Amino acid sequence: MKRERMYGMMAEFDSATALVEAARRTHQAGYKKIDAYSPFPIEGLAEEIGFHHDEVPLVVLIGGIIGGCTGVHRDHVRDDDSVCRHFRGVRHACVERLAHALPSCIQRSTLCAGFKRPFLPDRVFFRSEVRSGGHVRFSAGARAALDFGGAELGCRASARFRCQYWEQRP
Amino acid sequence: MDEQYKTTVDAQAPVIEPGYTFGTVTEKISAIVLTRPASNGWFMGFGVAFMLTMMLLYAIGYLVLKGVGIWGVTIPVGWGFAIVNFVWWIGIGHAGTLISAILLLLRQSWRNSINRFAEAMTLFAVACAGIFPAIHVGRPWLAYWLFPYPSTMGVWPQFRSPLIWDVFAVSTYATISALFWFIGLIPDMATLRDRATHPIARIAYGMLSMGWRGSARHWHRYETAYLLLAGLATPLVLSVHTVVSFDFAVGIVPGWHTTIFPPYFVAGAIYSGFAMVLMLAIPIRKIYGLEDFITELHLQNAAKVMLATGLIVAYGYGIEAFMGWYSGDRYDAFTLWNRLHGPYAIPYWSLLICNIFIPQVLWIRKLRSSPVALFLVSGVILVGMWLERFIIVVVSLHRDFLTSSWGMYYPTRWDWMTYIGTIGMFLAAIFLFVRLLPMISIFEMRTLLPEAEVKGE
Repeated sequence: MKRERMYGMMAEFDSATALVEAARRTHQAGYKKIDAYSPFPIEGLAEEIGFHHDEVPLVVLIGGIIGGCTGVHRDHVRDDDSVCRHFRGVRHACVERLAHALPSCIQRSTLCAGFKRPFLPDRVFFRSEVRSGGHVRFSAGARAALDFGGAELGCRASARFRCQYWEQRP
Repeated sequence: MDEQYKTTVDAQAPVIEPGYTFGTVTEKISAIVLTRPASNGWFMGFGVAFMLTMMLLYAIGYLVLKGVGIWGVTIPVGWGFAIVNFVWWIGIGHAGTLISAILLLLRQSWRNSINRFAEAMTLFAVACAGIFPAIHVGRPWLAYWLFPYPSTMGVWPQFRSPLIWDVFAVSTYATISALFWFIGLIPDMATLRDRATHPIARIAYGMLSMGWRGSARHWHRYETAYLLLAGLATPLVLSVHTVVSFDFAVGIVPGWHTTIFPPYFVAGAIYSGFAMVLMLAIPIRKIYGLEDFITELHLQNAAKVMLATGLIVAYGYGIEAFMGWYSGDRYDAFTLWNRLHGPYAIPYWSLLICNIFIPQVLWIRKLRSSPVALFLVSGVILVGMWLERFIIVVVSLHRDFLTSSWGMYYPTRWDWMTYIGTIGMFLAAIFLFVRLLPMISIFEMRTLLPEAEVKGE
């Protein structure tokens, strides 16, 4: 795993103030693939490295609403018919009363909301990348098992720069 | 407002003693878990607590074998120790949620050193509480009928009963408390992961820290998630014990059927919860030398919360007595008379002494800042709050409308074994917690240091 080009740079700072200042200047200098690490939350640091909210909460909310609505959908089939609905591999009992739809409603909204599971690759695997000091290689089997719909999983981890701060561009 | 608060309290006692750095704070808290060997005292304490837990298992095992007849419950007192203890434990849990959620939203920085073990206390107390309704149903192996699972038999819970609301309230509470606790632990788990030397400890803390690296992105999402959870947990501080009080208030039994119950129960819950926090914090800070982190300020503030909630509870007693007379209802009036002069007069008077009279010594600043005095007063309050639930459950039930149906309730040895057993289980869990997890939030303590502030340019 020999690398020719420079992979990244790190710098350490003594105080929170210096860290925030360095992050701001790095970001202003045009570097985008940067990260900042601190042992406690520092106000405004995430904004300084250019981290913004994404559409994930909205996607999850919409998924939850769809799931919740379909869960409440009633089916006037008597109990002894025991016709069950299948959704994402989970059996849902038919209901006669609205309150009885509660468990299936919760299940469905969770399933729909989690359908995209967009946080997972970044959350789980980016750390291993740092620890192993390079990019993570996935076997074909692991990649298939870990496929959350984000095709760029492996490439994304390896393309990221493992650095805290870039020096100011000369 | 935070700044103002800081400067005013700094004059009397600091949130954290001066002279600490990021490194020493981390070292001091994580050393208890990672490097300090367990003392003989820890083994003895854990041993006793563990034996009590075994006693609990024995008592429950015998109960499953024989049925609730081994308890003192009978008609007319069908709700004995089980419900008394359930309400007591659930109440104790409330302080943890108050400290972690409400004080977080109010930006009270003094919560930072006590929130972790207060939350742990909440979880363990809820676990103890959860045992009682499950074994009280008579056929504990069917306790899952309490949940509205999609039953093909068409057996559904009675949604109009406050008892089923209680199932939802308590299970929501347990879930949120566990989530809050765990999310708060993640950055500290990462600290332990990085500092641990033993391979098993590294793997265990590594898995629990869920890939935490302390990136600014992590912190950003983390703080959002923590705030959202605090927002979810805040109404629970009020709602859980409100629903517990509905178990009583919705019934028509004299002594139960009052509208004062929800606020009075919530205040009582926080009252007993803070008493338990102090009973745990005072010995722990002494044994592990954490006086610099859990300072006099924390003890004083907790004492003030107890004083305030204690007065609300006293007001509740006053209104109950007043309404007993003012309503003109002879059964309510009799309930009051029966409490004061009936067969359970001694518990009632002890309750008044424990919950109202003795805690008034906390008005004295000298006693409020003395750990020994606070420890003793907290113990008295915990006894008093247990007696309060005993009075509400037993004394109201044992003499209701018809003299022909009057009776007495005497707890049996199995009742006591179960109750003391849960205290043992609670303590055993606390002992384990102190050794296995950072009992003070390390990263939140770091934020209290002056170096953590970002100074404006």
